[in-house]
Amino acid sequence: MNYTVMIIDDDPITLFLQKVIIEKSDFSLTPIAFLNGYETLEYLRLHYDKNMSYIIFLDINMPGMNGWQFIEGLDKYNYEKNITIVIVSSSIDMADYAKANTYKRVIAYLEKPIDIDMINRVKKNPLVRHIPGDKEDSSRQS
Amino acid sequence: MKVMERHLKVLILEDCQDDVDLIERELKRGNINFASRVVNKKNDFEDALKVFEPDIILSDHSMPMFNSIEALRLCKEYQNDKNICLPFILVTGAVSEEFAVLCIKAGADDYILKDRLKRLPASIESALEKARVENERRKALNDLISNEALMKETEYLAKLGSWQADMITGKVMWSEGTYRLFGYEPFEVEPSLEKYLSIIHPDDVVALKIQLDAMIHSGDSLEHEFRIIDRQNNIRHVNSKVVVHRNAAGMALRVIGFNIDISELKKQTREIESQNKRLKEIAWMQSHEVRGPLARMMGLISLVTDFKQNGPNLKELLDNVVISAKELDVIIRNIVRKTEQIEK
Repeated sequence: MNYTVMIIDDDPITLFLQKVIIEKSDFSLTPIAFLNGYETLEYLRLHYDKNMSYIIFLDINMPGMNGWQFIEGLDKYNYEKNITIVIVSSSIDMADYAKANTYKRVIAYLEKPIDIDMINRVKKNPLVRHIPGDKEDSSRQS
Repeated sequence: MKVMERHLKVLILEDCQDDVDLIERELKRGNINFASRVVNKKNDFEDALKVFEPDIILSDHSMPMFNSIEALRLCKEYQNDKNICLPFILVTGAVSEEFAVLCIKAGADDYILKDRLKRLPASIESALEKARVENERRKALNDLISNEALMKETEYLAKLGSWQADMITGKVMWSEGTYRLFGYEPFEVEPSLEKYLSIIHPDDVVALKIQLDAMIHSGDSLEHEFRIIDRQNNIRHVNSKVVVHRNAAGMALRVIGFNIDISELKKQTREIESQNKRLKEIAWMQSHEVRGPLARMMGLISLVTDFKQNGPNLKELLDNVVISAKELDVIIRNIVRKTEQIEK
């Protein structure tokens, strides 16, 4: 099984930064960046593959559709468990952290700025499957 | 005899030393524990009243430079000034019946003939008892007056007004504070339930009537808040406590209420609530908006720190640091502006 890393953030500089970190950590050399949730849902509608795993790095505070609304949008489309979410937020608000815990798809909550150590910790999360660099995982991306 | 047990200060008006001796001997015989001062001139009498502070005065009728009628007058003045009752007994030689009556009318408690001095201790005893009762009555009256003055002062300072309604006669009474609360001069209008209800804000009057009726019917007390429109058309917020007094059969006899003007308190509460809202907005900005560009700068700077030739362009990284710093500046200026609004 293959996997795709996606990043959603309304701020282009942040998007650029996350792309660089994810590439540098060898998590993915081809992450796909989106400036909003609508574009992401549209991408999935056209390209969704149930044999593929998706890991989405998601910002919360965005104009239009915010992070929570995006997750709820995913749920409407009956996507299976192969789409997991890593929240990436600049908010250090405990209410946001608590809310993130109520969504099954959310496997991690990262505070900006993200760095390589954080990405490495996400890799070790047992809920994240098919992650390169994970020694027990035989299906490495080539 | 209780009155005799204490040390009695006796002021004697007498010009004849023999008579003084006779009076003092009679007091001792009567087992009266006393200290005496003897005077026979007006000035000395006045001084003795102030300095000696006698418990009783025994006065001869006439002395070469003074007389009992004048002494009684001075004694009355002294009593009025001090608001106390000081017994005055005439101890004289033979006088006419008419003169004795005149003296009693002028305020003397008794008169004793010098050849009947044996009666003196009993007369003193009875005059002191009379004075004691009178002094207690005066003190009670004084306390009542000062309590009422205190109540008025309290009502004024606490912006409190009380009222009561007699359920049998229907008579309604308002305190000065109640008039003030309603914007009237004290006792300017005839108080009544209708007048009271006409001052309550139209939006609150129905609920108030229902609560009052229910309490008079079967309750014992009530506390509620409502608005009034005072005579100057100001809306005031009032906290009201009402109690009902009943007889043994449970019939309501009297309803008493206390109203406190809480308009100022309400205003302060609203101000605090609005400040709180603005503080929450600032806290939200700190958490969400400030951290955005700051996090970006931290991320960018860590990339600059381990800059590699094949990585992202150094100038692009630094330009983005500057953009983020400017954004952060705008946000912080906004927070400062909001904080200044709170202080106003």
